[in-house]
Amino acid sequence: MALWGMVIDLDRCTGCQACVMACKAENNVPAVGAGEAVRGRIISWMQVLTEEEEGHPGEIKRFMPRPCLHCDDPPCTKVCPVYATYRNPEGIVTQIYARCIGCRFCMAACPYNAKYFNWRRYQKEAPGQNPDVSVRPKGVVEKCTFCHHRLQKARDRARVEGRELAPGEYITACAEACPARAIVFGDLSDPGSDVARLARSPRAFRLQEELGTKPKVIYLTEGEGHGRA
Amino acid sequence: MRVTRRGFLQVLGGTATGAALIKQRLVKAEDAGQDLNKWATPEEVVVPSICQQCPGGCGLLVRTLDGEVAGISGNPLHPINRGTLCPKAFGGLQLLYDSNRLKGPLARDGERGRFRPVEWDEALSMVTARLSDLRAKALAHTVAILGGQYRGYRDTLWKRFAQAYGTPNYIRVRCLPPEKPALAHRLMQGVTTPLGYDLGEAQFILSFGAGLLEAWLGPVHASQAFARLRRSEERPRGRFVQVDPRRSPTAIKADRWVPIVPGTDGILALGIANALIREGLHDKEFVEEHTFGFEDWRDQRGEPHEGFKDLVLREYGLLTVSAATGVPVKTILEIARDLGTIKPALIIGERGPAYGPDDLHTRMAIHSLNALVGSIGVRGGLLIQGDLPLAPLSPVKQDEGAQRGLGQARIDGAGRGEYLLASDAPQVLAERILSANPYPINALFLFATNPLANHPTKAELARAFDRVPFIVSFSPFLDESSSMADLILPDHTYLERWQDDQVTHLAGFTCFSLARPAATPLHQTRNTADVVLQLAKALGGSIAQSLRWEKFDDLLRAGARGLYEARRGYVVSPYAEESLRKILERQGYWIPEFKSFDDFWEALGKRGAWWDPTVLPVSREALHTTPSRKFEFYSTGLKRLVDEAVKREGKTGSFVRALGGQDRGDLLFLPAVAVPSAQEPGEFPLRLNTYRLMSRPTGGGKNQPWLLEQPAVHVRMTWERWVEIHPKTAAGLGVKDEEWVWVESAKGRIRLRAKLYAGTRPDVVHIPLFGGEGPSANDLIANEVDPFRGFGLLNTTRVRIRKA
Repeated sequence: MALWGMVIDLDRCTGCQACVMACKAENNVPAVGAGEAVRGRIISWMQVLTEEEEGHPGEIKRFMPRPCLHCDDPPCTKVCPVYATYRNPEGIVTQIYARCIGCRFCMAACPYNAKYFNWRRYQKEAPGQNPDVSVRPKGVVEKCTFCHHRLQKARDRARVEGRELAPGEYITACAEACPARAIVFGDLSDPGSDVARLARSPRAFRLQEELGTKPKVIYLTEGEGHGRA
Repeated sequence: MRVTRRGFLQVLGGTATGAALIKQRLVKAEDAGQDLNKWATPEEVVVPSICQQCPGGCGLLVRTLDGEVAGISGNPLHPINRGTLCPKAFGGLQLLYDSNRLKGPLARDGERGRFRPVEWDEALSMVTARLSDLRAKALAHTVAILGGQYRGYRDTLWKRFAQAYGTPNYIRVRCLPPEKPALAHRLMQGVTTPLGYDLGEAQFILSFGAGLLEAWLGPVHASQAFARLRRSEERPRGRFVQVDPRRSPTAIKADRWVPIVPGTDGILALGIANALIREGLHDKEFVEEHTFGFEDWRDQRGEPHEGFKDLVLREYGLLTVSAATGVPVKTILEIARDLGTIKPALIIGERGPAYGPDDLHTRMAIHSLNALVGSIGVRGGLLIQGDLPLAPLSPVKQDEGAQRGLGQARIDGAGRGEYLLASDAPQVLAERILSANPYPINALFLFATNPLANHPTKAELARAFDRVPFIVSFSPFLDESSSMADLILPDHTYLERWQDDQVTHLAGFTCFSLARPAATPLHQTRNTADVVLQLAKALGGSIAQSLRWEKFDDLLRAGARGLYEARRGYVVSPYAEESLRKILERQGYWIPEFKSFDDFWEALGKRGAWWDPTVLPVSREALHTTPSRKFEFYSTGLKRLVDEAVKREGKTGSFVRALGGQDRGDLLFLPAVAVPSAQEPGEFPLRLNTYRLMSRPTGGGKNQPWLLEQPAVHVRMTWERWVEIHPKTAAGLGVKDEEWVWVESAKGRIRLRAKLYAGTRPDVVHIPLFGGEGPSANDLIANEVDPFRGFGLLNTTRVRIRKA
């Protein structure tokens, strides 16, 4: 069984936000508008955070793209009263909109602020959208799904062609778009995969590891060195 | 997909409250059941296209379902972006489906700004009638065509049209012509195409204010190169230093951010040159064999001239440089030592807006560092661009009317007098039209430009437009400029039309991208390139003969035949095949892939681009096409131009005056930048710096909500406009974060939100160029012209800030 995960190399990342826009286009995440934005209601499954220099407020040290970290021990799923969010066998923390009752317990539980609430029906009937992803009505929580629909499509294709899913056949939209190739996506359970190799790098760290959430999005810190790992 | 009734009911039961996107419509599942046809899987076709949101020219793959666009991704075969994209690319979806697009041609109805819909035939005959009339009255030269940021055959077409019709006034309005070499490179190296920067192979990059990771030429290509510099399998992590008054995202990613007094970049470069020479770290072999004017020299008449070395050692001591630039001596020395010891090193000093009043010499000073470290014509250094082997077009046929018109001087004065070296001078256009100097303009064409929105001279231009009796705009939108037009002939957006792009900058390889329409046009719009051909046909005579193609894609096809026949390069292909071809071609084998031109054309349309990566001229001699066949610290090319101008116009001629007067002597031809004397703060104590955000496309993107909502992460702002102020400066003014302030200059004032940002020099405030409606930094900038680029000096304005 695959264990899908992601490595983000902060040394390569330029903070350009191509990942953010690629995600919005892929998953039909609409702009909420200026009025909603000031209320802090922008939905951005992938978001570029900044980290400031200690003791020098305002001096940005680095950029940090943050999707849902797809924790192996996710705090959000445990508080969901209706089983709308759960960790699937392949490690993807999924979200079923039709089950969601909008209680937002999961948002409170997520230490990474990776979940977003639809305060209104933001998604409009508009052309140019991707028909492969589910529609989110008003009052449900949504978040990064590791572009789960791409896995379904890739798997269907493989099944029709009577073969196994090949490595690299399923990657997320953010990893595909990243101009610096800072985002590497793949199967963490396959020790030979790029993502597993990079995850073993001495530069690797996880966000707020002390919480025991075991995120499957692993960051590589900046620094001197040789080679990609 | 086959749906049985039973299976369908099960689906229905499982998602009773669910909804789905079917054929681009949000429908409730129950409603969708009404018509099972809607469940039929649409035909999915992927069409290659070219992103036109910036001059980068990345290759796209457009996913279409039954002809409707359902997504954009990068073209993995395209050599410029290799399947990746920047955030702007995705905004193209919203551009295409913008509900404010014009649905068809409009004609002025009464006063300006009021329109009535017209048919294409009527609209075209109105233009033809006006153009024939002006030509008949021998006023062809009073037609001006303003073009924005585009390249390739659309440029060729307009140029040909202007030449055949008989107007010298084809004027490009843009701060950066990516297909032309920087003037400093032309004068010091004699190049006629832009230099390629081998960023991906460099081990040390020193950038003077170039927004490498934000908005510099091709942001995607530059980001890829940056990533290689940082982390690649085969070599240690490269170093990157950014000189910039602002701690931009590029500066954040750099190993060292060097805050500098705006406009003193050239002085810093000469300070670094001083340190390099003083410590003996310059590439002595290169300097001796391949440069001219480094040591003192005597000319043919035996007169002595001071060399670059003595000039730099005498005038640009580190203390002087440090005082002028605000960069500590230690930093200058450390940069110089890095430059002298890490190979290959690359110095970038090219960007849109000018560095300061003496932009030419600043750029020359920066470029001279590349020569000092011997990074010219080597891998990881500066490369020369090859030319695309496009099929030559037959010469333009010019009848008597055309020749008469072309004999006239240009309205903007480019190519003459003080603008001798500028190919376009849009900055003075308004003033020239208003004063009818040298003649009034009778018709104006606006293509891919909206100068009334955010050009620094927009107020004057608006008055000038009032004087022009006939304005035709090709904008797909009713924007500030097109609403002043007499006729709007809306263009397709780039996903709907045939087009090419000939982006050859950055990496040294030549590349021709081709896009066929990805979406069926949504409205009654027409590709402007086709419209130009139709106009030419209607005008008849030599104009029709010069533009004899039926459709724009015929022209593209005719040009691409040259690529097919060149017997080099190839249509982009998957990586394994590409590697094999490269290996073979380096050994002298070139294998044709296609049996006929038709096959070639077909493949070009399916894969999106042709390129030729193998003829990178990595050789020193290839670069030096100057009179001395060497890199010239002392530009003999500029000397010749000045001597000719003196002969023509006398010592006080306008060109010599624009250069700063002949009393500068040899300093005029050397990379010498005057050290400014200390200035009293005065009424306007702060310097204004403007910059371009990564997320803003050409034209501002006001119709692309995704990009407007995308926050500028360094200040956490979305939607609204802002001015960045240092917290200390703000405290002195009593301004708090997010408060409204007035930014005032001698020209005007604008109201913006203050964002306190520690990443700046305290005496500089920064405003991004937003584009579109609303207060713009360009409303503050005085209309000063850089005579060498014909464009405004955008970074020399002083301002003050008051609480609003």
